[in-house]
Amino acid sequence: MDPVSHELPPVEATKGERLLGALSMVGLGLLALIVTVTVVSRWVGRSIIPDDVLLVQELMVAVILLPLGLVTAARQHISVEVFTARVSPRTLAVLSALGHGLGLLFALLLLAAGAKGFLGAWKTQDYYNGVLHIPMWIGQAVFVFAMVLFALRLAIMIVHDLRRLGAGKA
Amino acid sequence: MDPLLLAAVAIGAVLVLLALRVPIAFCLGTVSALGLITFFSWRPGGAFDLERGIEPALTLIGSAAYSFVHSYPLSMIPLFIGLGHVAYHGGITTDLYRALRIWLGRLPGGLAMASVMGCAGFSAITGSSVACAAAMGRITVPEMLRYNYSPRLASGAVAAGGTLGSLIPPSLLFVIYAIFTEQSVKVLFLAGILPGILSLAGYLITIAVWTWRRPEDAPKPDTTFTPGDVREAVAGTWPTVVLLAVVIGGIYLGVFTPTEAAAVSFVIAVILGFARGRLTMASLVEAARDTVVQTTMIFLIALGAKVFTTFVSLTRVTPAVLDWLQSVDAPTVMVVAGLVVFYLVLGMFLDSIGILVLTLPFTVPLVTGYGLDLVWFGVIVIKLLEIGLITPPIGLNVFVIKSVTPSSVTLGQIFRGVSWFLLLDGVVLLLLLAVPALSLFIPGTVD
Amino acid sequence: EAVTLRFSDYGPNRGTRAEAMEWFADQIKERSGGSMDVEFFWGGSLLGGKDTLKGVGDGVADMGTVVGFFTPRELRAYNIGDLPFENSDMWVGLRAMHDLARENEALGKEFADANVVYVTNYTTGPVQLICTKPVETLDDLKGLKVRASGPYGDALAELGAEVVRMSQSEVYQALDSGLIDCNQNYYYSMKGYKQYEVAPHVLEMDWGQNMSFGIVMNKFAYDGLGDAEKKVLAEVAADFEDHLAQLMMEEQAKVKAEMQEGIDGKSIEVVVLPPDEKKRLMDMSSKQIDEWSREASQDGLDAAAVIADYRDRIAAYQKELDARGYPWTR
Ligand code: NA
Ligand code: NA
Repeated sequence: MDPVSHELPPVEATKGERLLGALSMVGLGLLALIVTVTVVSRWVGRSIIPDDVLLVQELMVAVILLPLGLVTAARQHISVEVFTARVSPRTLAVLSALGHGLGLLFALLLLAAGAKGFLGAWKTQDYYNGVLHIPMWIGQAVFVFAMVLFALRLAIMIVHDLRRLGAGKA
Repeated sequence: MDPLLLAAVAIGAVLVLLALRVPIAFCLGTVSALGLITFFSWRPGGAFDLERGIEPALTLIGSAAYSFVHSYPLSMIPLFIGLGHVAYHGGITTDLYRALRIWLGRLPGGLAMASVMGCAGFSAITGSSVACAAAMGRITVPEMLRYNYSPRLASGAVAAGGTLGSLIPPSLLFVIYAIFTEQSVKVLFLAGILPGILSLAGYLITIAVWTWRRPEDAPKPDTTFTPGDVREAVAGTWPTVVLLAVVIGGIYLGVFTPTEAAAVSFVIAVILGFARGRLTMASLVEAARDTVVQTTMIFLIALGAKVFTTFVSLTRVTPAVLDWLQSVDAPTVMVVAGLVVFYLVLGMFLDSIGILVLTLPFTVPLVTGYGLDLVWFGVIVIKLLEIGLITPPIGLNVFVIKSVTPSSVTLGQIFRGVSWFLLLDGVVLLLLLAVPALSLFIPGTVD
Repeated sequence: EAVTLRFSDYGPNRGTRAEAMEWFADQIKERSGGSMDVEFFWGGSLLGGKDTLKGVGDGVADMGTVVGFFTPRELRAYNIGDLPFENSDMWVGLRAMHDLARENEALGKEFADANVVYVTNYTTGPVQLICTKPVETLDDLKGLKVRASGPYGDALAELGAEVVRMSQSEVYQALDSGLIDCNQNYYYSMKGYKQYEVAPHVLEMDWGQNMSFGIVMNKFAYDGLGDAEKKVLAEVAADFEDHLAQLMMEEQAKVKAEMQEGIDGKSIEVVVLPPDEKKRLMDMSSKQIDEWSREASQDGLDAAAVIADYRDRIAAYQKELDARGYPWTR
């Protein structure tokens, strides 16, 4: 038997979540390239990427939010452990479920907020002032998509936590 | 419901949930989101009316969260974190650390000194303290543990050393401060140099005293180096010098903005890694994965803090505190002391960017009203925010060190290790407060 | 029972605009006999500039500073205020824009759709150019790297300039390093960002103003006001334009003189764009107005009518100005 573990083991991420993580990495590379090409081309003559700042903003939404499932499955969200360093595995599972439950609530609120933002952007069909007229709803849609998957992952984590609770009982 | 009471309840709920191991991001985010719904639904003197409150609350939660991730300047964060990981996988940081270790390794506590010196060097190519702590932490802490350094000294030194990231330019926090106070970014960057070096000196002294009092915490490595090793080690630092020149030179000469410096240096580090044969496609993917996972984790916390900050701002707790400070009608020294305490307390709980955005609209008029210099005040505030990164209960740098070091090192150990360094940080802070020239001298020589 | 109006502004609580806003708040409180009160949230601590229209519409704040640039389609008609019209007097511009936003049906519908009520207007003041090298004619702009925004940038690009987009806070360094040669700016902001330290040449173009920039109020909050309070609000809003215009014109004259005289040994040299060149510039700018008109028409707006209405109002106030001078000098 393991001694009292201070951390629950990570859960394996789904293929889809790994794919989203990969997309986030590609987005980061793209983001770095857009800025670098802008700088270099500005040196040489004229800036060749239109709306570079706006494109980076859009990419940021994907880069930041798509890996949420990966991070959550790996239990990489930081928490304060000092006060609960010596609790039993059962209690640990309960606390983990509590944490994921609050996370789920937060994700659902963000989802609702994002959906509201998306609907507003869709209704007005407004865009970012610039050359490309990038529609505002695109980034909002990515936000909503990321929050749906985040909420699902958190719900799955609660199931995992409760299963551990059951196992700890046995 | 009275907003001040609501804020007090929310802050209490955050503290309780934090103690119950609820992840910081979820804790801040959920409590403040519910706080916002309550605020809009339950106006003072009225009954609870969710139908009226839900729409503004959701709009505010959405705008705070979305505008935080949908941001060009903040792309500096993943880029500088990425630079750290690529520099790590490409051997750049290891080479720098190796050179410092060879130079300083024979001194008592030399590995820890090399670590904070490495932090200072890396600070000059990163704009974020958290990125700095992450990059240096994952190289130096395992190395120190391998040589039987105490986990407290090893992790504490790097958590503290990482705070140099925002004081030594480039610095995201100075950029934000500059935007809010309409001061020149360049002047603020220059102003941060001397205080950064002073803080570094403080950390080196801390390590010296620590190892003098408790030599067992820092056993002397038994390895010796030939002059050839030394030459090789020195030669191995050139990629660091190149990146440093790109970032610092590029920003100082105005060739590009800090965000651009982040992207360009990231791309250069990748190219250098492949050119030197130190980076493979597999290790680049690993670096990229670590980067996005860590970025997401940090952004989620910052996002939670951003929503929390918005909630706190709405309840007017901040101006209430500041009104009280002003009502005391104290002399300048008292006001500055009050502000220091104020920022220290906020730094215990909130994230740096959130604190800046929340407080500057109120503190800047106070500061200018007392005839104090805004550049000097900027340095003081950034130093206080840096201290906030390593004070309990929420010390982002400590958490980051925790996330990149072996799980045998506990948060408690890191906080205890950091407490030694906080002592000297206090001394440095007092010096910066007492002698504004420490901040203003270098910018003065350029104008 | 007093109504406290939550007011969200993206900017700092310093400077001329903030001073005028404090005056606005004081007047509202005073003239309503204390039944209305304004509580400011500065520096985007509540809502960022981009989120203010939506935030005020949804009741996050009762009032807020909206910038039309951020919602080019939702406030399509109001964006007329950012176009390079022959409209460089601040008082005339503010008054014309204020009346247009209040009385023109197209603008009114736009604000109503966003669930807000238009209150009053700001201005950036007339657009000038600050450069590191002497620029005296439009042809001098060919091949120069110029930081510019919005339709002014498009017009400058047509004049052969290489247009760079960046935020005003980055401009100092960019001018200093030679990354850019010129910057589109207003006098007070040249001083605020200390750009005179690194760029000694100003071309005074007086090239229209940015005025798609004003105060709106949440519709429900507005409807909740009594008739007396609505009247006070309207009066203060109108007087605000005179007050702001006076403050900003005094400020502009002052900072221009200061920068010309020199601050810590750094000074600017001002060259006024010659009249024939100015005419060429305004002819050139009509393309940007046409472009807006085309896009607005696509969105189902009677753009020509809005333009005509705006031009009539500018002309009327210009006439009043020529005949009677500014209200504060009468
Ligand atoms: Na730095
Ligand atoms: Na802290």
